[in-house]
Amino acid sequence: MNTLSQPVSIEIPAKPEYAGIARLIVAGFAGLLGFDSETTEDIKIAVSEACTNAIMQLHKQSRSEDMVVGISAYTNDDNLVIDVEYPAKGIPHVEKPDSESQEKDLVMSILTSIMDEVDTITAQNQGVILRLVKKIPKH
Amino acid sequence: MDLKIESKEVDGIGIIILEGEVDVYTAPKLKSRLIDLVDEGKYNIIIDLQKVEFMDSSGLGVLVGGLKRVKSHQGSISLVCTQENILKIFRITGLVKVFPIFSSEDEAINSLKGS
Repeated sequence: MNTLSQPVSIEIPAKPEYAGIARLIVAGFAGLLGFDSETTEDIKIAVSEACTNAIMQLHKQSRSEDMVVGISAYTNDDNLVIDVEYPAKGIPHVEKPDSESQEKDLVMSILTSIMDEVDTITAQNQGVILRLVKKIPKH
Repeated sequence: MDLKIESKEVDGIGIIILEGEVDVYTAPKLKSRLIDLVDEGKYNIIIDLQKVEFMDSSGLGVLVGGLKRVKSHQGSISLVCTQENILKIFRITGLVKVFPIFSSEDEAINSLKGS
């Protein structure tokens, strides 16, 4: 198993045009850990879904212009962990209103199908972290 | 990280050919093109995904929205896709049961003509 002892962290403006940058950087990190191309594509989709969720949540609050979304990729034991964090003061959770439950279901079904674990955590600064975990392959 | 959209018409069928990535940034362009086609009276649409390198739920949402739009005119949306990484997301979400998916544009056109 390849290991990377230090995390990679970036912040992107909470705007749609930046989501692609986040998924490319995390895909590069995953590639160095030995994930095959198919799984790396899955990880790109998961990062894209998580960033899109964060950007859309901030956009709904009319807060996207001056906000950033933080993305950290790191290893924990034999797992790749990706944290996608956004400020959520005043935003109850990543839960979406009922009218968008169909869309939310679509996103969650994708995330839970392609990642080993998906968690939502309240960050220390009252932000929200969507944590994505994928087991690193053993070679 | 962009999306090229070409469209053409074959025997009254609107065909959209996509190349690139369909995500939260580019999906609105696809939505706009789909709305334009419907406004032009094209209710049977084929979307060619063969040159799509990446698609997430933003793209799926636009396709589902487009399908609702054409269905209100008794129309349909068929997809052309053989790429496993793109087909996978349709399988995961169960959308393989919602969209007819063909391996070539000709196959999709012939199916529409036969229906």
